[in-house]
Amino acid sequence: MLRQLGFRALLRGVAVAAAVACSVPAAASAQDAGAGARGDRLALELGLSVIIPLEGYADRQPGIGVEAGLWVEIERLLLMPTLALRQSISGRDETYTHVALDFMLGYLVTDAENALFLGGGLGPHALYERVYVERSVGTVFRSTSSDVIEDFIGGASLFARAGVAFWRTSTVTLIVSADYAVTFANFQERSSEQAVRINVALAVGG
Amino acid sequence: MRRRVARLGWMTMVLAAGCFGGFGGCEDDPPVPDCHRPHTGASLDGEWRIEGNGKRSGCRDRRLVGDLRIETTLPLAIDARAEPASGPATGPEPRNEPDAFVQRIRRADFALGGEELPSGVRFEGTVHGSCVELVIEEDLPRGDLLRYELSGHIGSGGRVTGSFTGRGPESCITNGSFTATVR
Repeated sequence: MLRQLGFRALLRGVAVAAAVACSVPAAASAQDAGAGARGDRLALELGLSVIIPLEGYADRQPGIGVEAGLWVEIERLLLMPTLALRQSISGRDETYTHVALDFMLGYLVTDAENALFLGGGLGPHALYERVYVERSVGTVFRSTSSDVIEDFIGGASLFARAGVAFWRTSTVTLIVSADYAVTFANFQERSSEQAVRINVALAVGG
Repeated sequence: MRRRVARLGWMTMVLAAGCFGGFGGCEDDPPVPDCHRPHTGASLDGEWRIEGNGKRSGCRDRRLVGDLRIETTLPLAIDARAEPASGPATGPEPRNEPDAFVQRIRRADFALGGEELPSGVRFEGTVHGSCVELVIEEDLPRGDLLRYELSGHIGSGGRVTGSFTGRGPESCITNGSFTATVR
């Protein structure tokens, strides 16, 4: 009986402590930031991205991407699960299609209306690449081989993201960010591909 | 008569089994170059240009694999030196000894080689009648080597056509067909 009472008291104590811990900083930050502060938020996120490959991506072909997911704010913590489809746009023989499920965890540096955020993420992906290769060997008796290499492989990707969320208190928030992404995939010539991505997205609702 | 027919039937069956059983005896082998054609190695003294097409496979670097085009980037000065003929004389069957004497001179075997080839390039060849066997090598950076073995026959206008196999770079294997033009 006494043990049961003690356990209940302990639970009540933890709950009160958690409530105080959550509410005090939130109230304080709301006072600090004035109009910029808002509560937790769950919004739909839709975005476009430009891919600037640094290595791989069908021999560094630029691409574009579309993504859809969620924009979740819990205090200053950001969660951003997204499903992205990325495609080369160069129109050459070298192409790629990249489907990635990304989970980003971020942090709003300020609680202002327009707030900088930093984050990083990871997730599984599938990548199809088609590369036309031509290789010459020899200077006097020259031999030139040409072929099309196709790969379809899966793996994991890691990325670091920095961005700004504009009009956070509005129903529609504009999110502009840049990623440095490393995509791990077991190609014969290399184990990873790297790219910088510029993203523009809208968070709607919440 | 019946026994003979039965034996013929058995032989046909054995032959068919050989053909379809993977022994390879009845596959379409490439035609053997005809060494008895009219043109001989005397027409191969001059500047060579070689080009051809084929396949490269078996490379560790898969970017070296694929359809292959070979070509000489500059004319190769090749000497054709007559050598004592070995083996049966090529060409039409001579009717008398004087004809045979002349034919042995005209259809001498030839050795092909280059005195003034670019450094790192080696060219060796033998000509028997109108059949040509060539080995061409070129040194590559880091001790690697390109080696081609060409086999063909001499046609009109100083042309040699045939097939080639080769090795390099690294573990690559090549094969295909070629045409050499000698001027």
